[in-house]
Amino acid sequence: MTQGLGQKLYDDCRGVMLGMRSLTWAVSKKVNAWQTLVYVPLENNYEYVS
Amino acid sequence: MAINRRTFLKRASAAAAMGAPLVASSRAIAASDRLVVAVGQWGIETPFAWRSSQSEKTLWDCAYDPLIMRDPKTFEYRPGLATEWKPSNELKTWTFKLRSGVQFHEGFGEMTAEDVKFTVEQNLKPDSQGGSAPFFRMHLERIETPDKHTVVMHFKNKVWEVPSNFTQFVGYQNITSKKYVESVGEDKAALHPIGTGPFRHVEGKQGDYHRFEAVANHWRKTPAFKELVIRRIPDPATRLSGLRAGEIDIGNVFGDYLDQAKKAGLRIHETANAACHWMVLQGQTTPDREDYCPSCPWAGDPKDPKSQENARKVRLALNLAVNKKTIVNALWKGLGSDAPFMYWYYPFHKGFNKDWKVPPYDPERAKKLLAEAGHAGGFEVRVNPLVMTYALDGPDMVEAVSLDWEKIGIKVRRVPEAFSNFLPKNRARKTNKTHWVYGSPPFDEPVLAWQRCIYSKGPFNLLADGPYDEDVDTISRDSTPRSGRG
Repeated sequence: MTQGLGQKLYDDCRGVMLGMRSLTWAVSKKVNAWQTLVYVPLENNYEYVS
Repeated sequence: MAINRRTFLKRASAAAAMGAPLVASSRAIAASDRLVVAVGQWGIETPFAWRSSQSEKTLWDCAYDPLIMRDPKTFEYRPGLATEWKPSNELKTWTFKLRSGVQFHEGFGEMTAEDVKFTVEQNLKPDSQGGSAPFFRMHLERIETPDKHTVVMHFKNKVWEVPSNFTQFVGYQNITSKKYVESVGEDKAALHPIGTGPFRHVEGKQGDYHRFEAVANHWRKTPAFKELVIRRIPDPATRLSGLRAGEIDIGNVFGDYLDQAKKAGLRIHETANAACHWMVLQGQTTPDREDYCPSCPWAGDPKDPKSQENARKVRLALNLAVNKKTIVNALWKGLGSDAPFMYWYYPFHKGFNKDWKVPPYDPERAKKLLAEAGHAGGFEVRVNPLVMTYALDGPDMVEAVSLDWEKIGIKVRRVPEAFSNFLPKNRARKTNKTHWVYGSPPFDEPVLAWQRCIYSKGPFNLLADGPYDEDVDTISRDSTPRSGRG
């Protein structure tokens, strides 16, 4: 059923598809590591910045 | 004055080279102990679960805790403020066991079941516009708190999707102190949020910045930096300028700014395949909404099959007119692709179809389709080149799409309006049929997004709401155990 609605949305062209993209941040020398959440397009997990 | 793509991209590059205001420094704390994050945009700046959407998370998730966390590498569920959660009574009852000893900031006491109950029940207020509020209003029957570390939620229906609503992402039921909100009132509490997160809110200026200090011995992790400053800086040139000057430590960069950041010796942090982008074509909603537009060429009259067929041709034409590869290469610097693609349906979801590819660039066919649909001379559309939380280069993408649409005869009226103003209008379906570029986050299952974004009873319309209500209802009520992500 889920795939069926996916197909319907695709066939109906409800929006204007642009694409899937990666998100990029520039970080200063103060930032050694930053474990962000996979797939998530927002800044998060600031407590993991070291 | 009309400009072509080359001129547009050249101007975008030039903007990056311009000077920019500096980021203000703070009080008596060593610079090495301060982390400054420049966020491109946030939503309406509310810290409260019952008024929130994901767009507030980048600002407030540091000050609060959710019941369920995520494994950062696998996205699977992990214990948060809840150490365990389980359904009973055929998915109509969900019991959460809470972590003991978690303290609210500034002496507001231990987080207990009463705080969870209070937070969730705020969603039931008629004026709660949060993204999950419709879910709770529709399904929640009552909440019991048999002891201070146990919460039992009773629902009217079988609801498998409960845990997702309480996750670090994309849920947003960050637990709020009942005592605090009731003692100072919601308006005042919104200006100085009290949570249990790894950072305590110190002060802030609405629309500008918020300052936090690290909480020692936090159950999640004690932050390495003593102070966190989150600034809202929508202009990418200003963010880059601050990064170069050493006054910003983390800032989203894209397009030519990405190249410049690399040349400046800044390290780049990447989250792969993090957003799907599309232009939302407003007007595809239900007759009771102000945005309903049966006469709009791309929406059509739902009661007239011929009108619907023509509207689909128009929408396909609007897709074919846009050179997606140029957007991927020029604006995204190749860090993306035009396939695979689907609306909130990610490759990691069961049933994803690799044949769901972005329609090719074919402006000639686009013109023919417009003519077939009775719009050979084009028509006028409104677009909002806004900076959206998940689409910080929204203005560039909107402009790229607009320039391509103009080549097939569409008259594009640009009507800029800040996301913080536009978002409530989107929730109310009162955008005056104004198109904009959205970026999607990942959900555990596509239907969790569809319930929110393509469903007339949901909080937003981010594609089309109305035509798929029955499908969304059917899929939502299928209580087959999910493989899920936790």
